[in-house]
Amino acid sequence: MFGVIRELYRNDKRFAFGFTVLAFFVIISFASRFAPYDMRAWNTAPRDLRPSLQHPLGTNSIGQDIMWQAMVATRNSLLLGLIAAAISRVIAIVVGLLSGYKGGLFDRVVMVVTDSFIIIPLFPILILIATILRSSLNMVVLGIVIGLFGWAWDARLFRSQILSLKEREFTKTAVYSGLSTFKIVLSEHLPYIVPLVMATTINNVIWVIGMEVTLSMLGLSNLNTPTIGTMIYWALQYQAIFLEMWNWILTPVTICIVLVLALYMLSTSISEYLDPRTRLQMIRKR
Amino acid sequence: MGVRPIPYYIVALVLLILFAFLVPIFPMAGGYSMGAKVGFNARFIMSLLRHAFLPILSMVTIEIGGWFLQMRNVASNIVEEDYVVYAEASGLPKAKIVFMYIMRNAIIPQITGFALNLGFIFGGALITEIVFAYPGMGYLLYSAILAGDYNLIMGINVFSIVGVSTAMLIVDLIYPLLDPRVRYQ
Repeated sequence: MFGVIRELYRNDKRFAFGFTVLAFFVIISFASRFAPYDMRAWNTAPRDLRPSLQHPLGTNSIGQDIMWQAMVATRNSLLLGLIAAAISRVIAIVVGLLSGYKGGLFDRVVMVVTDSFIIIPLFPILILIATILRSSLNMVVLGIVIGLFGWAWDARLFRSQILSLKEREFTKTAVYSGLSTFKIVLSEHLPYIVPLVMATTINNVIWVIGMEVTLSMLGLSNLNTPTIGTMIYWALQYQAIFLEMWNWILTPVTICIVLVLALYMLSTSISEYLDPRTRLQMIRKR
Repeated sequence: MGVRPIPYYIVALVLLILFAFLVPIFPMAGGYSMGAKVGFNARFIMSLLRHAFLPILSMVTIEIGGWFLQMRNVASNIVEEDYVVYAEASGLPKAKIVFMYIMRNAIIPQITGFALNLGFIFGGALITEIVFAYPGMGYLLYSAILAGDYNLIMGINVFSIVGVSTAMLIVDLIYPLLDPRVRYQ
């Protein structure tokens, strides 16, 4: 595992960039534990200050320190991405593995459900759910809701991999030696699709972060919890562009762009590494 | 290709700050200049285009990469076909091969994608329209959702359904013109 990371880090500039940026954001998220203010409260600092030593990125019009706000927001957005991605991964893996391995009627019924989840117009439904749950919408609930809708496509992807793994000989050996279905699927098939799971997880995190920003910009999530989306929402509400408060509006925008780009580069680099043809080219180039 | 994963409204925000505020070439909000008389004349159309330019640009910047990739994939498959090899062997000029032999065949999936994308005109531009305060369908839908005006939401949905199905019908009728192999009996 670490050997692979070191190899990719040395040979692929995109991986190096993505990994460094992601590590930076993770460190920031941990550092946000030491925030001196309560980030949900307003008026904890003087308003509308330009960047200074005491407030490195200035303060905003509702009296919050932008640097600490951004750090907590990064942590919350990453956390949300991880929660939603973890939930949707578990569902996708279980559904994909079982329906691919079992086949028959079970497979057909499950795939009908999966296909309907793929074509459901997600955005209106999320708006509906967010309006209904708005009073009790915290990070975890939002993560669960988004996670419950993001698994279908990847379940199909995993299933297609299992369909070919099922025909290999080790599966038959496992069946004849009396392993149960769950054991075969988990200990024989899962290791083969772990790399694929990694790549789709990163893509899923990107998607979740984008979804959260969308919902927050519409004012549909819990607006007191600082996330990248709610920071943009409040900056737009207080007309930060007209007031020329670049430190307020550009901080979340920059974080969003850099974070998404870093994750995207990580995922393309990993999936290229996993594709045997491009990996051969990589080895030849060296 | 790097811009593809960035949410399009973030690009919209950046464009808004750059070209409407720092370098005020384009207006910040609205569908046409205030006080302009609505009518079919050059001045009104110019003002309409000026206001629509940034929202369009923000969406095009993001979408163009995907379209490019798709066109490239299809074209690289068609290049291997026998008739392209034959055209090259018979010494046709390169421009003619590219436009008459490759592009005409590669453009068909693009037309299908275009028709499917027409659906997003009504729903997908929601946030772009909010960022630019553009008085379009998405903005109307947003205010309808906020006000809980279910009749208006239903009306907008009917519009978008009719729009998408009409677009699909037109594209279905255009296919035979583009691809002689398609025939409707």
